[in-house]
Amino acid sequence: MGKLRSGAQIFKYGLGFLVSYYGIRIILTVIGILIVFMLVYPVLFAILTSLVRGQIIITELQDIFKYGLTLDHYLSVITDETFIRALTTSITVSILTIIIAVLVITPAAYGFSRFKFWGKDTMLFTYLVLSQVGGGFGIAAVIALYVFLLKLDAMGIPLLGNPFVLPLVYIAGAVPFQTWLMKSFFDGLPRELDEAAFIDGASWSQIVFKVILPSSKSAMVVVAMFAFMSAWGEFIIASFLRVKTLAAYLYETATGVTVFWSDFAARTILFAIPIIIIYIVAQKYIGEAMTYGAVKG
Amino acid sequence: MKKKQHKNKNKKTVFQLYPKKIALILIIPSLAIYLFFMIWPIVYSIYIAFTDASALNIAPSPDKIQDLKNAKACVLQTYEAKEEIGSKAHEAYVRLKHARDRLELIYEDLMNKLKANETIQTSYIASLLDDVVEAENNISIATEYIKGLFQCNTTYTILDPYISQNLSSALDEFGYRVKSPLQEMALSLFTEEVDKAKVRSVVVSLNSTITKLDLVLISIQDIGEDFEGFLDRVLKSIDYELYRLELHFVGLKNLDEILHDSRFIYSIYKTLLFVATSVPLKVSVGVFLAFFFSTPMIYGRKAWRALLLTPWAIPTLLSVTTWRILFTPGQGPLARALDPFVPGGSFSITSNEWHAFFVYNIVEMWLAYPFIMTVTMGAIASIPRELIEAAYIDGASVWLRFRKIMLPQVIRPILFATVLTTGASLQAFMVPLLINGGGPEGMIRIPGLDPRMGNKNEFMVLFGYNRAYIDKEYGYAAAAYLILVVFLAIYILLWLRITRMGKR
Repeated sequence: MGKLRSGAQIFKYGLGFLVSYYGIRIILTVIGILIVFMLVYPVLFAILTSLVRGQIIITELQDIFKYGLTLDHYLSVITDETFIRALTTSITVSILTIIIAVLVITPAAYGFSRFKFWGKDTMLFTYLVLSQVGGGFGIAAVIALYVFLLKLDAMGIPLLGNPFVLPLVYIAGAVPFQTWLMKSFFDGLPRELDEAAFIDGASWSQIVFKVILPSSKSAMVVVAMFAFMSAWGEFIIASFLRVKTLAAYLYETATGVTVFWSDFAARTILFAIPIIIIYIVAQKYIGEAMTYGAVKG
Repeated sequence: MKKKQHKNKNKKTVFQLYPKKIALILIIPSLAIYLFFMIWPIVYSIYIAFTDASALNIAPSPDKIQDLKNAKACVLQTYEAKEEIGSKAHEAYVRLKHARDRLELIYEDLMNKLKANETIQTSYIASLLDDVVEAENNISIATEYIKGLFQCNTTYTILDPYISQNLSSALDEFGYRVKSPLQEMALSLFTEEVDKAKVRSVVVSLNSTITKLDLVLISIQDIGEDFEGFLDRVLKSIDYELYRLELHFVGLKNLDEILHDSRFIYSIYKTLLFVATSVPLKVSVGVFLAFFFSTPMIYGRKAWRALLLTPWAIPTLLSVTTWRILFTPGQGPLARALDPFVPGGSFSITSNEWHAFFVYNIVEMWLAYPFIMTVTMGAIASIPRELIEAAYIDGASVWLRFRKIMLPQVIRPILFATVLTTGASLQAFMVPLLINGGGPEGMIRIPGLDPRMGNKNEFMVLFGYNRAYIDKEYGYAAAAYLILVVFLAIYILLWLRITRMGKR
């Protein structure tokens, strides 16, 4: 549209307009780049901090030349035993979260999408509301859960610090939002698919394994990704329930009296890499889901 | 009613296709997890809000309770023989006091002699010895009596352990540094006069012995004067300890207390203020970016847009702590850049509440603009192109096109996004927690309420969290969340109203 219009206008106004037209475009682009730079600056800063020699906060660009860049911080992080142990815990928790989330949320979403039963609309509505106030309720629930687990602990059932409780808590937090997400996916799948199979005399198990599961692969991938992102990045619940996941470990090191910023930045960047990769791979889905109501913060 | 039945008949085939039983099987696992790990704790937290739950009483160790019970039994035993033991206690007190007074007399005498620079005769020292030995006897008898007062199998401190510690150290010091040197001096047959340096060191030790005895006397005064009263007080405090180890239903006490807690009132004020400042900020930035990067005039805008979504790709733990580094007082580049704008001081998120508040707004804006931007861009993209082109051909100005055609099309999605992001601000938690834990700490004054020390930027969710995580006052924390729920309920009602308005 822009080009066509400009063509007509060159004819009308001549070369002066051409210059000013491209001038405006260049000026706007420069402003745009400046804005993007400003907003991406924290990330660049974190990367630079993790690379600069010593444990300093870079205040000027000259600092980088003064102290030089190094990969030492990354090396010290990956040889840090606590980091490796926390990483292992995080991987365990994330994998469990993914498996259980897919196993539990996919069928529920399918049920909500296809079946009609008493209380369905109320439940969906409750899920929708709760997915918006999850932050406040979530923490209240975690405190109560902690108190509850403390009691069980005193009775001799050691659930505190048990990494196997964490996936269940994460999934519980994700149920409302992810059920909605998956349900809208199934709503988009043609009903005729399973209905035809049913009419052809297929049993329910056949329908589930031969028809529904194969066609909901991509939705399951989305659920898995969200499950991973929530399990990997969460640290409040983990530190409350005394499970030292990577995020909980990072949080602990961020709140100390003396923080070694460069080591910390290197650690956090390593921690962030899987999430960044997933984001880049699945940008489309995540963007969609975010606008759908998964408010970050 | 009839109509409904009719409808059901029509859908009978569907009912057969999708039996309820299967639906139940499909939904139950997720529902069970949700109910157990989310709804049940929320219900439980409502119960906790009406109790005095704290780290002490939620899961008290049985050993500790047994220990206290032992202490109580022991005190009760002493109670039965209170005549006998009480008289011993009294005796100990009297003997100690006697010894102390005697020693003080000796001390003053010696001091006077030293000050006047008189010669001190050996015979004079010898005349003191009787009193000295008597005092030592008294102290050691009192020590034995006091040790024998409570012989309990408990770690509970009925009597301050410092009492016997002070006594035995006083006894030691007195024996080695006062009595022995004095005896030595008295027995030296060859000199009439005593070495003054030695006397001086004796006087110093004497003084410190008296100080120690004074300390002990103060601690056992109540035992010596009113033993029964002392026992009553000990029993009361043991009972109180036992009471604290039990969970109690306290009714509305927590709610009453929290509504009179100036920290909490201030927290509500700060939370609402944050909603009022951060929401307009993030919405206007998001909308501006959406319009700006929707212009086809910008080269490579798709790439820029993708880069602008960076906040979504970065875990909050990394991004918010990076902001914290950037604003580290005196060191972070952004804090330094802001220093010149702060009249008479430096920009400090750790000492100025409004500086920290400002940073929260910036960070919240940074976290939330991608959401607003994406929603707005989606709305802009859905405006039919013909509409704009038609307006353009009709000669509408840029402003007019924006106001009359684009704005009405995008205002609704922006409104919804605003409502959602308002909920996020209302529940802001990560940002203050990771930036400075909701600090700085300071005296919080609310007219009509007692001033209290507290964090000045604890938003409501963080307030409850800190009460639970730092103070370990679970009942109080749960009460804070109960009040938060009221705010969230108002928010939800508002949200539903606006959503319904949009549908109409």
